[in-house]
Amino acid sequence: MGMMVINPDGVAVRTTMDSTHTNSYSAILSRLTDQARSAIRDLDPLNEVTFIRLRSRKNEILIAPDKEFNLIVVQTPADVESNHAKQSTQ
Amino acid sequence: MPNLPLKSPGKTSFAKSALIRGKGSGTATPFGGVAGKKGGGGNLPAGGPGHEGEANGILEGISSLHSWIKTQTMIRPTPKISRGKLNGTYEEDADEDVVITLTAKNPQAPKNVVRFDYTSGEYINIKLSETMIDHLEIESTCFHRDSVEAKKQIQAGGGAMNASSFRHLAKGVVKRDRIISLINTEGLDEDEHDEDLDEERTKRNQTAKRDQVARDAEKVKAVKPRRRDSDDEDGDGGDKKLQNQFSFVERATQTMNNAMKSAAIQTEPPPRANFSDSVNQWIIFDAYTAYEKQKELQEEQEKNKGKKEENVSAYSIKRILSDKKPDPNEDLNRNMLKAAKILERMVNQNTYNDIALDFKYWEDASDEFRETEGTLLPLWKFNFEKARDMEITCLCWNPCYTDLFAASYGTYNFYEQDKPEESYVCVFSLKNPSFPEYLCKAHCGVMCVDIHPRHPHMLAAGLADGSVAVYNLQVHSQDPFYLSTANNGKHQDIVWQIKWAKDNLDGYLNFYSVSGDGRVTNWTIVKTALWHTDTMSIKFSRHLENFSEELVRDNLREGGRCVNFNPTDETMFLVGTDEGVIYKCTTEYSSKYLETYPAHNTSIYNIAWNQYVPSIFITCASEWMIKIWDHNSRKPLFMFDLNSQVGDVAWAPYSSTVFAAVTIDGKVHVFDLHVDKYHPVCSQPIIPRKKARLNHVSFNLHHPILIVGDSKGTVHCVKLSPNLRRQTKEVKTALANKEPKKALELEIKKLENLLAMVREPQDNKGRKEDEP
Repeated sequence: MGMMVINPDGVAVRTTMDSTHTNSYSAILSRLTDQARSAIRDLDPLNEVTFIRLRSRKNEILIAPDKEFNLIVVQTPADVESNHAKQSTQ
Repeated sequence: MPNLPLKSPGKTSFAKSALIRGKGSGTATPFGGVAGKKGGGGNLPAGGPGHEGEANGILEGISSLHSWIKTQTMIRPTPKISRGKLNGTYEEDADEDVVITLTAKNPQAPKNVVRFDYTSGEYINIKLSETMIDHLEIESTCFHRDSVEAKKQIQAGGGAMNASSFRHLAKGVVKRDRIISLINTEGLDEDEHDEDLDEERTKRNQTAKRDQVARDAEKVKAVKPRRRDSDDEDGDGGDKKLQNQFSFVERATQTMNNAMKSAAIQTEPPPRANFSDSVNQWIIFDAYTAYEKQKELQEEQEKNKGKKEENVSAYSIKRILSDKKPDPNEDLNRNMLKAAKILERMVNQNTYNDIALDFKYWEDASDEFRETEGTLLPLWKFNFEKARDMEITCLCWNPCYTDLFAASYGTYNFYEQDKPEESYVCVFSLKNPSFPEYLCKAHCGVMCVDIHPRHPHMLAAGLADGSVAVYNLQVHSQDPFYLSTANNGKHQDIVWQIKWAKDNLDGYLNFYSVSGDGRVTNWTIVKTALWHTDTMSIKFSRHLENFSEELVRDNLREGGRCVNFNPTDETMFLVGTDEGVIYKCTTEYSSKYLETYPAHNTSIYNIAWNQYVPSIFITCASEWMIKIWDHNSRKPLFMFDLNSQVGDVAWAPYSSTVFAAVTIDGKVHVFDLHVDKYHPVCSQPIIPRKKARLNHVSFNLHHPILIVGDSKGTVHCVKLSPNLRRQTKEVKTALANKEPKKALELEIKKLENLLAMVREPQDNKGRKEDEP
């Protein structure tokens, strides 16, 4: 859980998570953003990616890409939270 | 030779025609039997198996009869065994082996050559030597040594390979000349002979002139030995070697082939590095755009070079000043800000996911069971931390961006007007309920706000100390763009309402403000300054008695609470006062009213024109009442009592007969006159009664939502259920057919019908009251 700012080389500049997680997330997600951007622009060069939301069972990754950096946030998705809440109240 | 009958003892068969040898060959010679006769000597086949005197075939018979027919008849070989058979099979004969011999005898040569001898007076047989046929003729390449050719060759070089010549060489070269001369002389003498000899020698096997041959042969023999002897005599002198094919020796040499050597050059390979890249549509696109930009830049530079001559100093200085070097950090920060904003929205969406989905998709299904009633679904709540203690004093939707609205914070508490040292106008977006998009600071409470319909970045706000401020949202600053000051026409009392007006004739933006000091002022933004014009001042209406001066009354003014311009007629506007009176005024005359309406008994909180039928307006006051008026009549058309102090009222943009009102007890009332003229279609508490008062309400132009501002500084957003948004079938079909004009007309008609029921003819001014 946390957020980080990574530069185009995939190195985390600022982060709130521990270093192992940061490193793995930054390396992997920077490649993903490159691919996504390449895909969108390949289809139409005038288009560009505004944001990427990757939802998995356990958590949700939000990426705001830019030319010079990427902003990444990892959080538990709202559904899961509310579901947990419901279960606990029941 | 005369053709005389032969005396030859030999048999002649005149019927013999052909000479057939070998197996089954069928062609015949053209000689017929008769021809054979004429030939002067039977052309008897020499030496073959005797086909003697046989007439073969019918064909021959015919040809013998018709001798002129030179037929090429096919002749079948006569079998020797069966003689009389004409049609017999010849197959077995075809297989018989026939002996073939090759002789040099000429079969055509006449055998019985005779000569008439005059002495004896008779023909004498001449016996010819056997005639010969040349079978093979080979031309020789030898010359006789004394022939002309030979001589020539010798002279050309080389000599005859001769034993004597070698001896001669051994003896000496001295005799060479003598030999040569000898040879030459000999050659001269015997040239003719040489020629003959040459011929004979070379044509040894020819039978052309046999007699000559015989004679010459003797000569040759005679000459030869002599020649040889002479040669021997002179031969010791040595001969030149003659080159003929027997004495000629071929010698060949082969040059030494130089040893082959290959030389190669190898350069040092250039240093190599691997380079890989990927190319996509967008990489190509980027490259092209960069190229284009560069080209443009170059062109601009060239243009500037040209221009520079004209405008040297001032222009260049200006350029230097304006072209400040872009701070790379600044760019980065801006980008960062953008990305952060996007992320913020994403996170908000996550957090408020349910609400967002409800806002979009949820429709209250239970409305089907309720006939007329509807409900309001609470959605978001908008808060601003710093303005927690303040009340919402005004709400305004942005006309261009349907998710933006402005909320102004201030206080209605008279005693606390000076308390808020800093107040805000927050522009919220529905996409981000946590924090306002834009923030505008003010030095005291803001009492009203309005957004320009055509320039959505211009925000006008009226402050509690009487000044007006204009904010420009494009500028990233929180301070007002323009602010009115004390010497600039600032009001002396709270500015209660502010409204943008159409651009005036010069194209400047302008707005109106009404305040408690009784002035309706028009402010114009001229370049960098704010100018004001008092449009009118509201005259004091009450009757005052002052003992000394009557004129005091003329100087007093009544406080105005709200102002609203007619949507169709921009010169006509309505002002509501603190006393509860509404004046219809015009911008053209500043002192006279067009109409006065005794509306309420307490101060009027809001006036709103109906968008569909511009002659209708609605008013609300703190005395629990809402009234609907026609501006032509001084009597209200409808009146509603809400049992509680009314805070605000607003028409719905989607229907001509729907309006909403909020009361102090936390309820929102929605009325649909088309459905129910007396009761609200929906009356729902939004917040618990004790907590806060609802101050303002506003419909969103696009979405079926309502924002309600309360006294705790919270803006509640609620969604209208389908029953509240009901449109008549005709309107729906008109909208479905994309005829907005028609829908408009239908809406107008709806209200008109309603009004027609309500409106009394003018002389009968009975009040039509709808009180619950």
